[in-house]
Amino acid sequence: MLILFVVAMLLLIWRWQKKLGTTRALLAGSCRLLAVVPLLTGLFPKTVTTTVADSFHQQTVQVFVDDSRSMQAYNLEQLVDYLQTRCPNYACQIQVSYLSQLRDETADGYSPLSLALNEWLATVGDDPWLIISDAGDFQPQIPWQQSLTPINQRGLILGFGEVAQETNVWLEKVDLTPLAFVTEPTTVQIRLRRAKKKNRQRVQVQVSVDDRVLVSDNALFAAGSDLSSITMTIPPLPQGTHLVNVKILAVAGETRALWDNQRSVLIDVLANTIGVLHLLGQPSWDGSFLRRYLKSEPKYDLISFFILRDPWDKSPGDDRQLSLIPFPVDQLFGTELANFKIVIMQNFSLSRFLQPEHQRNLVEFVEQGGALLFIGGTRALASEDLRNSPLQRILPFTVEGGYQPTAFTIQFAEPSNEARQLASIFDDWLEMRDELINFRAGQGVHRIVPTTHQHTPLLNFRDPNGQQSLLALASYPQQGRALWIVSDSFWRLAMTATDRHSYDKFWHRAMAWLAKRDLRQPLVIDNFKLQRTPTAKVQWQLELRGPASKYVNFTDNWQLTLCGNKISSQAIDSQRTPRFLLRGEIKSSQRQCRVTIAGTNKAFGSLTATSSALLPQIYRDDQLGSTRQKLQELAELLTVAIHDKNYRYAVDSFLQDKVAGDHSVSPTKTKTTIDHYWFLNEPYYLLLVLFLPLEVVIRRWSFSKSLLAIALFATLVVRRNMFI
Amino acid sequence: MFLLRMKLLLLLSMPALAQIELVFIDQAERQFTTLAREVERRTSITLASKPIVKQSWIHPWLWVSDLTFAQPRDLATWLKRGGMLIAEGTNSTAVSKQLFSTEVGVWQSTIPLDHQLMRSFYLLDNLPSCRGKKWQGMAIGGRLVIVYIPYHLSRFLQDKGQPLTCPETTTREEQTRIFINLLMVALATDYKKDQVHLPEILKRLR
Repeated sequence: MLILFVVAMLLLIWRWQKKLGTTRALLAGSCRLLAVVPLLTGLFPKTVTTTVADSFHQQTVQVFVDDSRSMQAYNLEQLVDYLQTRCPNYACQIQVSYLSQLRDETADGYSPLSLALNEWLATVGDDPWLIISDAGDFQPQIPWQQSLTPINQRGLILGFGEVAQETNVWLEKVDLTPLAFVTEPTTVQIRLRRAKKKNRQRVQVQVSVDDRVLVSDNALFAAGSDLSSITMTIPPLPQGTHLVNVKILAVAGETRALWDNQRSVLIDVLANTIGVLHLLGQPSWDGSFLRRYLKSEPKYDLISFFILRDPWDKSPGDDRQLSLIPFPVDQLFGTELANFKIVIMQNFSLSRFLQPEHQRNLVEFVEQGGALLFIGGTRALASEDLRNSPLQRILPFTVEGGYQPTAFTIQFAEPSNEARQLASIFDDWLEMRDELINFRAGQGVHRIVPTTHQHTPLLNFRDPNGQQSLLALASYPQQGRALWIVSDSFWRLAMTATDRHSYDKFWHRAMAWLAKRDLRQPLVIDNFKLQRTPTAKVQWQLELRGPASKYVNFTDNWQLTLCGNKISSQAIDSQRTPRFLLRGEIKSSQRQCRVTIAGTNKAFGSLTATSSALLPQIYRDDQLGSTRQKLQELAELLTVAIHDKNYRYAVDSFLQDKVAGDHSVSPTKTKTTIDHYWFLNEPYYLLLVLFLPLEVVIRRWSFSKSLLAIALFATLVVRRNMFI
Repeated sequence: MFLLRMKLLLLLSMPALAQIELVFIDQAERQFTTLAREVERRTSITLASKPIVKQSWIHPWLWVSDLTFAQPRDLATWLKRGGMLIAEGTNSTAVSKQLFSTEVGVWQSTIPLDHQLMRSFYLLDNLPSCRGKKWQGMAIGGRLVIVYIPYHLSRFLQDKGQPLTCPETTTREEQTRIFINLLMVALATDYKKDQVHLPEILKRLR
């Protein structure tokens, strides 16, 4: 082939020599030879191996890279490059987000991780994800739980950061119920950790309330243990919102990372608890679910009286083998009844278990301002309770037949405007309209007929035959309130609704009305949040709810006071849809702030709504020191593993387990091909580009033609990429 | 005589709906006439003698033997809503694998002697173990949501019940008492705990 080529070239030069002369023929021949050389390389092809995705769909792996100052000591780009290289092997591509791109504060030496991660996690969806960070958030004292929403568990954290100082002691958890009562002390449960399991160590813990140290005690680390816990009791506090600060005094040698020695929480102290007496005629699911709701609310002081055994029941053996104790009926229904706010009679027959005198006391209790919640069931509304019973005095209905095990659905009653105003619970329940209307598992009711106008019909039931009857009604005997629900199947709401929350909400609204605490506040402040910025400013945000919120207008008779400063209307940024949000920025150095919105309007008269929030301190990266515990907390919240060494191995395992492990994608395969045009990827192609036009210029030399040829040559060289 | 008349009236007037039903996930046929009679004779609860056999996650109390059931994805949600699962049998490895994975509550590898289960109706000395395997449980917010019984309690208590090879020394009376306590925990939760705190709560309310 080469010989033929050489012969062909010699013949060509010989022909040109006759036409153009020896010099030009040799020059043109050399140019042709050089121009053809790259084409000859096609005779010697290269073998090329490429990776080809076996799937049309490429899984996206979301990667968050913390490129704050504290992370600049590590070669993160190399790690990202490695991930880029490995990902195609698992039919995936990576989408990298950098902290500095998400938050400007990063340039000033801060790591607003909690804010950036929250934004980023919202975009992750179901994709696998990877966080590369030291978890050194600029608000390290705020637990991740308060700022982050966990996502799917197809993730991994590649943890960086310095090892904790050996002397470091920190607060791992502070448990304090955010609600307390003026008469009761409050307990704080504190869990402490230390970096090294060494000798026995004693550290001092202080609890201060509103900057006054109220309690101080020593926590003890046993030898060989890195964990200690202590429970401290705060004496009763006055009514209102208080800032509770828990602090470990720095131990000898602990010079860095002191931010983790203290934590602050807000506590709301209420006037008093609500005494509730719960009488249950027979253990049942309805009783069990209601009891669970009542126990979950710290504002109730609950005393229960369950009939576990009827008077006629008999157990073999000695009664001393039973755990039953006589209930102090005389005490409760004699002297103590007035101390309760609400009495619940659930599937309970008064006449069977209470003497007439006790029954009279119960009725008087309601008439004198107490509240009664009556819930039906097989044992309720027995004929003895209805005939010649003191209860009859406050009973607003008669019963038609006994308890019927019929299935039913719920419909809202249609009370008159006057009746509706007397029982705001109707409107409170109406807000749950969808949940109640869609409840189709009702089973078991009494059929009742109202006997007095002094009631508000609330709910009706409809049986499979389409017949309707009253299911719930409210009455107001003298100064008291009573709520009558003639079915024992509301527990099914907890098992069938989207979540248990609907069930709790149903009873919460009922109990609030009975306790005469109006839930329908005309104006409520929700989700009040404060955020300190590196420029010493505080960003605030809140949400307004309630029927009066539509009248709020800060250019008129309304005033917003925040951290003790009156905020001008120009400094408030408001948004009304879909929620009424207010936000802005102020200067403040306080640790907690109260917001008050006050105003007057013809529709409501004067109104005030308040709320409080903590103003967390922020730290620069160089002030934080080790943040290992934050890394651990983050992994626990997101329920994923941390790898803090062998990063490449961790990346490969992650891709294998979390990406390839998902059968929606197939790993990429390799493909080998023969490439005849490999010279186009090498500089040899320039021989073709340069010498082919030159040959033409030499052979057809004249002034005008040469100009045109040179212009063409220049264009081709400059735009060679297009030519290729 | 009066009490007997009352009891008769109450039973006659009580529709089937007021009965507490045992719901089994497996398909085995069971009948609990004697047990139901015992529960009714000793407590205010009426137990249905014929259990339901259905994997119904709307019901709050489910019994399962040897964990031979398809665990739903939302077992955790069911438990949080108010469900209580009784797992009985000898396959405790499977128990650990399936139930530990729910990670919604605190797993107790042994139910302690001061647990409400020991005093919810009868005062029990212990819960019999089986070949070294003990009663276990999981609690959410202090409420017992999963109970693992290391032997087949329900098979023993059913009519024409199968004798227990393990625990070796037990009587029907002992197992009936345990069952009643379990029933009380399901239906009255930690009611007994309130009675202990009664004087303190009353003092606070005054």
